[in-house]
Amino acid sequence: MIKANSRFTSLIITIFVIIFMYLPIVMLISMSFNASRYGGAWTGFSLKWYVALFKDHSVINATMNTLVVALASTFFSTIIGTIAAWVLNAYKRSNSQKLHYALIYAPLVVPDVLMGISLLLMFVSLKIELGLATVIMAHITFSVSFVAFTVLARLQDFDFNLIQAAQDLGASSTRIFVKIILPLLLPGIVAGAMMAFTLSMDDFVVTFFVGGPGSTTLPVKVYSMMKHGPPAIINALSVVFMAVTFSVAIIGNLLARKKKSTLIIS
Amino acid sequence: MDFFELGNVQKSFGENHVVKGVSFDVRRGEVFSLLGPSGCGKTTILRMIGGFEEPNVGKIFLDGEEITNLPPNKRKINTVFQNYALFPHMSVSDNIAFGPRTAGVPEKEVQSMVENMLDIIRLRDLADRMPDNISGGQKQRIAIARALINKPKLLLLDEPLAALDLKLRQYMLLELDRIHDEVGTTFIYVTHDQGEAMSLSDRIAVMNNGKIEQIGTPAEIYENPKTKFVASFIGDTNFFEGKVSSCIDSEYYKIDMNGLGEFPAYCDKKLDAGAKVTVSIRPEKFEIFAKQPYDNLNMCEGEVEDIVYQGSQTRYWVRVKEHRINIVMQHNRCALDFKQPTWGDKVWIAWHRDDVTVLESNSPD
Repeated sequence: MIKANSRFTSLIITIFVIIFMYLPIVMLISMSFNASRYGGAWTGFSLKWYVALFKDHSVINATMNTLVVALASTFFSTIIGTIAAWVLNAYKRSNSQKLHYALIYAPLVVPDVLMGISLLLMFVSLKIELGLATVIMAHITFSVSFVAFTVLARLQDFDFNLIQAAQDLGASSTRIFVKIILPLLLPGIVAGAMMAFTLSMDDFVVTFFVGGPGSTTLPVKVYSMMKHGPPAIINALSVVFMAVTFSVAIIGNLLARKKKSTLIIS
Repeated sequence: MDFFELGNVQKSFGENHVVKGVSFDVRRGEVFSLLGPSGCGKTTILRMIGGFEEPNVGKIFLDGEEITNLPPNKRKINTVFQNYALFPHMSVSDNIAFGPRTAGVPEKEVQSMVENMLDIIRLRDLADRMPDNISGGQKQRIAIARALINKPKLLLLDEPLAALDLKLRQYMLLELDRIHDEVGTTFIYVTHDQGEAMSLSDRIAVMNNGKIEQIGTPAEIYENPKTKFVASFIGDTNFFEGKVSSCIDSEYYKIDMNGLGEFPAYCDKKLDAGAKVTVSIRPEKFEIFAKQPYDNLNMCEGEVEDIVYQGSQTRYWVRVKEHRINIVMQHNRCALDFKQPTWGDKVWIAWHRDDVTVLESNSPD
C-alpha cells in the first residue's frame, strides 16, 4: 500500500517537473509555426516567420558572430583551462595552492552582471574598442574556469604512475604527452570544450556589457528584437538558436562517449 | 667491478632520511631481493635505480657505466610497477609494444617481438583485450612482458605480487621463476614478504630503517642471521638474553641463558667471557620429549602451556621458568614416538648446540 502510494506520488511529481521544465519550450516551438502575428490564438500552421528570419541580414550576422565568438573563445579557453588544470593538479601540495584554486574558482560564483561591468570598466579604461574582440576575451575569461574544473576532475582519476611507466619504457616528454596524457585526458578536455562552447553561445549578460557595434550575438539579438521586432520572428529565432545549441551539446556528448570507450592511439 | 653496483647511496626527503648509506652489488643474471618492512627505504632505492629519484650522495653503476644521474628513459633498466601501471587506453599488445615502438623499431619486427613476449608469458589469446578486461595476475604478467620486451640489462620489480591473493601469488612466484630462467635477465626484486624473497632470490639484502642489516643467500639469512632484526624479521624465533660464562674452544662457548641454565652454543665470532649476548633459537630447532632424552643435547624441563594445531605442524608454547618457548613439531610417527603432549604436561625440550645463533647484545638493532 505504502509502496503503491509512493510510486503514485513520485509519478505525479515527475509529471509536474516535466511539464514545468519543458512546457514553455514546447509552447515556444509550436508558436513559431503559428500564422498569427501576436501569438495567443492558433490561426494555422505557417513557416512564414522562418522565411522572414532567414531573409533578415542582421539575424544571419548575429548567428555568424555567435559562432565566431563561441569557436574562438572555446579554442583559447580549452587550451588555457587545460593547462591551468594540469598545473593546479601538479602543485597540489604547494602552500599557495588554495589561493590559485580560489582564483580559478571565482569566475564560477561571481554574478554575470558584476563580471560584465568589471570587464566593461577594464576595456574602457584601457581604451580598448568594444567589439567582437572584447566579447571573445570576456567569454574566454569565464569559460576558462569551467574547462579547468572539468579537466581537473578527470585529472583526479589520472594514474601518474602511467607517466613514470612510459618514461621507464624510454618515452620522451613529447611522446608521453601525445600517447599517454592527451588520449587519457581527452574526454575531460572535450567535455570542458563543449561546456565552454554552450556557455559562450548562451551568454547574454556579459556580452551585453562588453559588446560594441557589429558584435551582436544571438542572445543579444533576441533581446533587442523582443523590444523592437515582430514577436513571432523571435519565436522562430529562438527555436533555431535552441536547435543549434542542442545539437552541439548532443554531438559533444556522443563524441566524448565514443572517445572514452574506443579511442586507441598506437 | 660487478655487473651492478650501488655505492654508499643516501636519500633524504626534507628532514626524513629514508636511505642512510646503502651499498650492494648484483651479479649478472642474479635475482637479488631487497627485503624489509614498509618504510625501510627499499622502494626508494628501487626508484633511484630506475631513475625516478636522484640520490643525495652516492653512485650507481650498471655494466661498467655510471647511471646515477641519467633520466629513466636513458637507462637500460625497466621497472614492473606495483600497481602494474598498464596504459588503460591501449590493448594488451599495444601496451607490450610501447617500448620498441618508442625506440623506433620497425613495425614488422615489433609484431614478432610482441608475439614472442606473449608466448613467454603464455597469454597469447589476450593480445587484443583492454587492460580493464583482464585479471590481476594477467595484468602482472603483461607488465613484466612490457618491461622485458626492451631487453633491459636490469629488471626492477616493485612488490609485484602484493596486490594478488595467496593462491595467485604462489602461482606467480613459480611463473616469475620460470620467466627468469627463460630470459636470464638480472632481477632486483623489492618485497616485504620474506616467503617471496626466500623462494625466488639468489641473494637477499635485508633492510631496516634505511640501512642494510645483512646480505646473503636465503639459507644464510635464515640460519645465520647477523642481527636481532634479521633473526626476528625472517621467520619465527625465540630470543634468550644471556651472557658468556666461558669459552669451550674456538667455536663453542658456554652461555648462561637467564634462568634456563648454562648451555654450550656454537659461535664463530670471538666472544669475551662476561659479554652480554642474545641467543636466538628457531621453533623447529627444538624437540619435545616426554622423558629426559639420553642424547648429548642441550635440554631443560618445562610445561606445555598452549597448543595450536596447524595441519602440517603443531605449535607448542612451553613454559620454562620465566621463558615461554615457541616450538614447532612436524606430525610424523618417526619423530613422535610417544603420545602427543597436551596442556599442562611436563615435558623435556632439547636442542642441538649448533642450532643456535649467538648475537652480540651491543650490536645495534
